[in-house]
Amino acid sequence: MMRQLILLLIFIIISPLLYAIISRTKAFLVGKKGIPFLFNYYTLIKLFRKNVIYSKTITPIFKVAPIINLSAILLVLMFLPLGNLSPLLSFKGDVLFIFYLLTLGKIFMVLAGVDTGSSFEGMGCAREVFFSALGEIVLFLIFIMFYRLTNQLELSSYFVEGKLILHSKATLIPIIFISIALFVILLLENARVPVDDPLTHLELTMIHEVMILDYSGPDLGIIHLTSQLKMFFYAALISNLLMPVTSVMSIVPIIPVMPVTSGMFSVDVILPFSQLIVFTAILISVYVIVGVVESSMGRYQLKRVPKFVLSSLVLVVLATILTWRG
Amino acid sequence: MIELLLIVPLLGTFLSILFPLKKVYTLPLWIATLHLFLTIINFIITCNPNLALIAEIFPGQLSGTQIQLVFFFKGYITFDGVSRVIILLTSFLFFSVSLYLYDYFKYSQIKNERSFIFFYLIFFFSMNVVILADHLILFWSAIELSTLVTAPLVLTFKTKKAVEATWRYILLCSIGIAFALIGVFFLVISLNNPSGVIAEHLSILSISNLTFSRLYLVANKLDVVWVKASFILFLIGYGTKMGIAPMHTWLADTYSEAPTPVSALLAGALTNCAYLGIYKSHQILIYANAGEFSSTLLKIYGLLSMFVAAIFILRQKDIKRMLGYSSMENIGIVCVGTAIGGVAQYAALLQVIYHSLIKSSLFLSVGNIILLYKTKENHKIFELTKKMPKSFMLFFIGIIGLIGLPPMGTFFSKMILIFESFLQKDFLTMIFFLIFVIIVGCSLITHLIRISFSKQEIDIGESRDNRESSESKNVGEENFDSRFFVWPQYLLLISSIILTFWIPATLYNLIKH
Amino acid sequence: MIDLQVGFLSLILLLNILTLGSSRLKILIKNVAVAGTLVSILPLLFSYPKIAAASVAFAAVMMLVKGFIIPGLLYFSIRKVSDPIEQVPIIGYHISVIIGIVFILLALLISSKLSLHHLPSSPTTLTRDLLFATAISTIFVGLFLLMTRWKAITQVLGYLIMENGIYLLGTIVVGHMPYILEVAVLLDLLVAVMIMGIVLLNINETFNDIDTSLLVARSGSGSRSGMESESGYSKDQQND
Repeated sequence: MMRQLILLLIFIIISPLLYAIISRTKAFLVGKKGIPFLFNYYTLIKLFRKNVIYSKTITPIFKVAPIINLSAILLVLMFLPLGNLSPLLSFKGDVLFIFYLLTLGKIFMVLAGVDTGSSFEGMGCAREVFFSALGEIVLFLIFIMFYRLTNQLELSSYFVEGKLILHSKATLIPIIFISIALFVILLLENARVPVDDPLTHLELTMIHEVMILDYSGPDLGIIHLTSQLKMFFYAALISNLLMPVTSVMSIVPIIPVMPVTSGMFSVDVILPFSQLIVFTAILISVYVIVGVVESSMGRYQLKRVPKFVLSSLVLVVLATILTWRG
Repeated sequence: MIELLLIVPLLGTFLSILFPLKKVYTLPLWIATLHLFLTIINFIITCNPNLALIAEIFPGQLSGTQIQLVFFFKGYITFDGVSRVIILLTSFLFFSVSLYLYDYFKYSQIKNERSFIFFYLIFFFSMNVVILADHLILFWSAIELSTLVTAPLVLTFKTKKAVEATWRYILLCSIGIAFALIGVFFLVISLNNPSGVIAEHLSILSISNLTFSRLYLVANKLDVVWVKASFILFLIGYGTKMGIAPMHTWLADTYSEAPTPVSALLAGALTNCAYLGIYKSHQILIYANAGEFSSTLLKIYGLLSMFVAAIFILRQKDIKRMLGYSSMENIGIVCVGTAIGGVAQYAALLQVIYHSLIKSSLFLSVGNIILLYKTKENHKIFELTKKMPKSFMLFFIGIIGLIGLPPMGTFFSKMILIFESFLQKDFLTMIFFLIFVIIVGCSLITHLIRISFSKQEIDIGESRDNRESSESKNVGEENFDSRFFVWPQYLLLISSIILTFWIPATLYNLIKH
Repeated sequence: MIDLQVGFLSLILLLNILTLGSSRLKILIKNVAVAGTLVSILPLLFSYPKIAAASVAFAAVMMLVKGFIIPGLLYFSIRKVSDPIEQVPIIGYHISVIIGIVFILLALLISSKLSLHHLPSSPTTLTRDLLFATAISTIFVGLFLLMTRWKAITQVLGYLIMENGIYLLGTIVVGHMPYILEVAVLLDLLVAVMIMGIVLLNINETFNDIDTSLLVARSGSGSRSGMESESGYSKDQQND
């Protein structure tokens, strides 16, 4: 319990670092040096020290929204299993709970965006909601498929002890399909390149950025942290899915797994440790892949985004078909 | 040797590449003559009751007095009953049309004679393969080949309408034929009958020797559901190729836009080949005790084809389309006849023979008409009696044949069909049949009278699209009533009249079975 | 753990759906080429332990034809086409993709009801069902493309996809076909594509575009509905 809390805190603290990996990858691919790894921390510190300015047309929703968003994502993170370790909290049906928490955060952000009274932000909110609605279908289908495979509704049960992968019905190919679909959803929810370019601040092309135009100071800092944590959440989902099984792990040990029963190097500690390293490695590679994808694609026209999401829907349906029966 | 019948057209195809350009238009005539000769010889040989034909169905069946006719390709081709009749018919048709082509090339606007003849001869070859084929997949490949090979023929005059007609033809027929292939696979599935009884010969039947003859023998041991399913697909597939409604949409356009000799062959010969497919699969179902199923289907589609034909022939402005729709009517009659079965099957085969002969001669006469008047539109053609008396007479006799009046053979075949449906108490079919036949007959007579006897062009105002036939060059008023422009038609019509009254006993026996 | 057969089949299914959603002709041709290659290798996978040399040779020939020669011919045909993008079809792209998914589900349903036990293919029920479903859904997808798209070349591609599906169906049904007949079928396909390509070139020359809506609208005779309206003397339609 304690261990899991510490681990979670560590990952929460590292997430801005991981987020910087994306920018570094993009810079590396064009031959630049890129931002320093600790850049996001500097940004956060800078923002927290600033004053906050609120416009005259806002209501309390605007002030509360970033905090609600952050708390939602933090709560969600408590349900996330990290590298086959069971999470802090878990109850039956927590999958749906997580889902609605995420949506709750998003609703408040959207409301806050509309709250400013600017039609421009309203446009961004509309787009954001539209794309999330599309992504929701895919995510739901993925979770339905997981439920069919394991008959369990707890997020932890899908990944802890590699249950999903060990299950005989889910061979490699459906896993690959689901990972790709989850990756697409990651790009969608976090407003990365094929869906929205986080670097452009041009009027007609922003989606996510538009919503947060009016924020300043600590609020903006909270929002940045939230988006980094959200990215971590989705990337962690993918990494969990792709993690090799414990039994396989023991064949290829990274740290020798010997049944040592006592002391600091007891099995209890070592096994998860090696798993953690694998988990982190896969996590970092997910971020790197995001960076690569961002560099190699241009942003889609808005009308092509639904097709993009549709492609992930197709992948999920195919994976469901493949795991339909024995 | 049966294989010679296949080799000769293939040889002709090669020769067409090599022949000098000036003489290349004589090539079809040579090939067709040779082929007709061989066919007649083979026919006579096989009709001798002492020498029964061998398809060598199962090994060890050859006994002393049997002559082996098929040397190579043993498992694949056969020369049985209906095929014999139809190949004789086809050969004869090709001969007549090649005769017509001899003079046609001079006056038509075909730009590349060599490629025309090349495809023409491959078409001939493919039809031979279709008729002689026993193995299901060989049959299928040959029909597909015949579709593909006639496409460039239809496309000879590269007008917009011709291009459209070709595209529709090739796409529709290829899709239909693809369905027929699925039907073949369903038949193979039906070979594995789960309900147990393994016939002695069934166990060695697999797709490598999936011939019609073997299927007839083991048909009652097959899984009926799959056999029925395969028949449906065959009906759709080969029916598209034949022109059964509702898959008939390519027919009128293609007959209209193709050069006339090609239309003659399409109507006369290719339809029969597709009919063979349907006939043979119907036979399989009969042997598998599911005859009522296929009969019902054939009746429905046959009557539907006649219905469509009757409606569309009423106000046709284009002669060749009119003939195309009357072909559809005939197809409907043949299907209904096949469906009723018994003596009506005999009548249907007779109808096939007569209709091919008459329709081909009609198309050729129409070719003359078009060459003279330089247009395909009905109302622009007038005073046929004065301008081309011989063609008029041929045209007249041909239309009489289509309608079904005596002394043409179609009268007898239709009568037999109607009697048989009376005998089987199938009144509904008969009523519809009669209605449609009457409608078509009246329309044809109307068109005939207008074309032949009217004194001047009927002016119906601006005609929206120009139906100028691109077929003829402006060579002035040649006499299109001479020589090879009319002899083929004479040949065809006279043979049909002769056949009406005198059917050789062997032919009769063949058709009966 | 990697089931190669399942992998191939799912790739084929994916390619079909991708084809339903694409609007650019060159990508469509590439899709069909890859699908053809996969389809020709598939029988080898299914008869894995005992592979005859002849079947390997035949698979190689088929791969050559379906993966290179036919797409090459099609590329050649559309070189001269001015506008290599499909018009928005009667049934839009997104809905086509969803309909494609529905087809696949339907095909799975059909194949699970059919219970074809005796077929010479695969060990597991899933793979056999999936094979049958892939075959049937490929046929559906090909027909669908043929029906709903405007450009002539997409119709040819639809025909090719349908033939792929039929070949897959043949793989399920027959363990071994005499090679001469398979060659005949393949040759038919090749000739079909050649002739279609020639006609396509002619269409392009005559109409300056391979848009079959031009073909349909020109003479009102028999569009896809198949009923021709022939009133001879009416003045308000572009009919015969």
